[in-house]
Order: sequence, then C-alpha cells, then structure tokens
Amino acid sequence: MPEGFDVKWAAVVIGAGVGLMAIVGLFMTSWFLSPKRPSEDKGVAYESGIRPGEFRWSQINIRYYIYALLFLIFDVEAVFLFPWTITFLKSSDIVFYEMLVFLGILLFGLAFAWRKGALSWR
Amino acid sequence: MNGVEGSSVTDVAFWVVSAIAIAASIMVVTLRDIFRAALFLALSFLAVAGLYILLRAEFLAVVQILVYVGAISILIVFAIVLVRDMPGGGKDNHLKVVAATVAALLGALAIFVSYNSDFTNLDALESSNADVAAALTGTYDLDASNAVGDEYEDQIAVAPPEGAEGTEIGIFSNSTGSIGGLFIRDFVLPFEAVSVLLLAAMIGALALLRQRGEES
Repeated sequence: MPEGFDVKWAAVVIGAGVGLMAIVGLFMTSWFLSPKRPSEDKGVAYESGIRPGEFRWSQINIRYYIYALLFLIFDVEAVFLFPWTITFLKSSDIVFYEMLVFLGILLFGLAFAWRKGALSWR
Repeated sequence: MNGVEGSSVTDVAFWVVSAIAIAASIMVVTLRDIFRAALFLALSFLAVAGLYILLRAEFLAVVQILVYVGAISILIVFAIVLVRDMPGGGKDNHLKVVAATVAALLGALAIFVSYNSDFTNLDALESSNADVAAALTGTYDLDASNAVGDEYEDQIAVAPPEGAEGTEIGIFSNSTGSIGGLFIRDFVLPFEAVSVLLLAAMIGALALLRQRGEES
C-alpha cells in the first residue's frame, strides 16, 4: 500500500459513517419523540382513502423502462468522461475534439430518439 | 494481497467489506422476496467496490458504483416492477442439484485460478502490451508518444513511485490518469467505437419500445 492510503480513505469512511449516522439519528429521534397511538385506520397507506385490496402488486407501464435504459447508456458515457477530464487539459488540442466526436455520436442518438418521438409520453 | 504491504487497518477493512459482500450475496439467493433480493444485490455491488478500492483500483471502484450500484440495480428493480405477480418469488423446481453442481464447479475453478496465478508478476503482461503494463504500474511515460506534443510529455505521466525497481510497490498507482492517457493515445479508435456501441444500444432500446407501441 502506498503511503497515506489509510488516512485518505479513512476520511471517506468517516464521512460516509457520519452521513449514515445522521440519517439513522433523525429517524431514531422522531421515533423516540413521537407519540404512538396506533389504530387500524392509521395503518392504511392513504388515510381516509380507499381501503387497499388483496393484490399489493401492480404492473407499471413499460414506458418507464426506456428511461432506465437511456440512463444506463449515458451513465456508461460518464464513465469514459472521467479519465478524459484528468488528461485532456494537459494534452494537445486533438484530444478535446476526440471527446467531442464521442459525445457527438451519442447526442446524435439522443436527437434521433427525440425526433422519432420516443421520449414523448403517449 | 500477496506482495503488497498491507497495514492492519486495511486488513480490517478487507475483512469487513468481504463479510458484507458475502452476507449480502447469501441474502440475494435465499430471500423469497425478489425485490429485497435486488436491494441486497446492490449492497453486494457496493461491497465489491470497496474491495476494488483496497486493491488500489479506484477507477474500477467508481465505475462499479456508477454503473452497477447506480444503473444495473435500477434496471433490475425496473424489471421486477414491470413483471406481474412477482412478490412470491419463483416456483420450486427440480434443478437444485444441477445448479449446486455448476456453482460448485465454478467456485472450484475460481479458487484454483486464484491460487495458481502470480499476481505480482507483470512480465507476461509487459511482453504482451507494454503500454497497458506501464499504465497499471503507474510508470506511464509519454516520451514515445506521437499524439501528444513534446511540451506536454511530462504532464500525463505518473511519476514512477520510489522503489519502482520491483513492480509491486507501484502497482495501480493513479490508474485513472493512466487510463485516460491510454484512451487519448493508443486506443483512440476503440474509444470512439464505444460511442457507436452505445448508440446501437440506444437505438435497440428505442426499437423495442416502438414495436410495443405499434402493437397496442
């Protein structure tokens, strides 16, 4: 292990731990402070609403899936941006245009999808 | 972590992260509720990202969190909610013996390979591709570069760590910058081809959606 590895990542671990503790602490605080008088009506998802039926599972529209897929594609694109950001300022200009070509091809795909109406909600 | 000098702190971190990964994986295959299984799968991915950090592969860890924890888990959750009547899980079948045999064979293969590989020996890698080996060991040097002007030559290069005689110490130091250097120098065409691959994936996804839309 290189020097300082422990210390640097210990900071990350401590930060993550503090964040987690903050969330858990807020939930615990509200749980301790809140008065608890449970009744059957309060347990319903929508109070004073329609009583839920037997089936607690419903199929959602397939259209949501396209947004998940598009998100995945641009997520992978972001992965390629990271190593580029570190190197491109220190390199020749052509490196900048390499990434522009990369982004341009993907933007063409997005524009194509938009034009074809794939992003509109019908 | 053979050949890499580890401290007790990283050892403890390794055991904690490994325990989380194994426990989450066991929950994935034993839980009947498939939605909770998907959430435990995300936890398992996160623990594996921790293992990558301990292996000094920070870029791989970031990719793991971005793509697997952030996107693949979302896709799996979407696939679950798109399917009707899934909370009860799948029905029992008679393939348990076959599945157990295949899993045992794959596990034995993984253990066999990891015991018989010398992970600190980069000679074989260096003979196959010197640039990749240089990137892995943090000794990437732009002296031989054609794509980058001479005035930039010392910018991307990661200074060889002290004691770079043996490759053990420098392995995986600052891999992100080295990977970027490889992208812009040696692997420009594959790098651009990736965008075409992503474009094909996008068009394929849209074609699936259109097909469904025209049916209804």
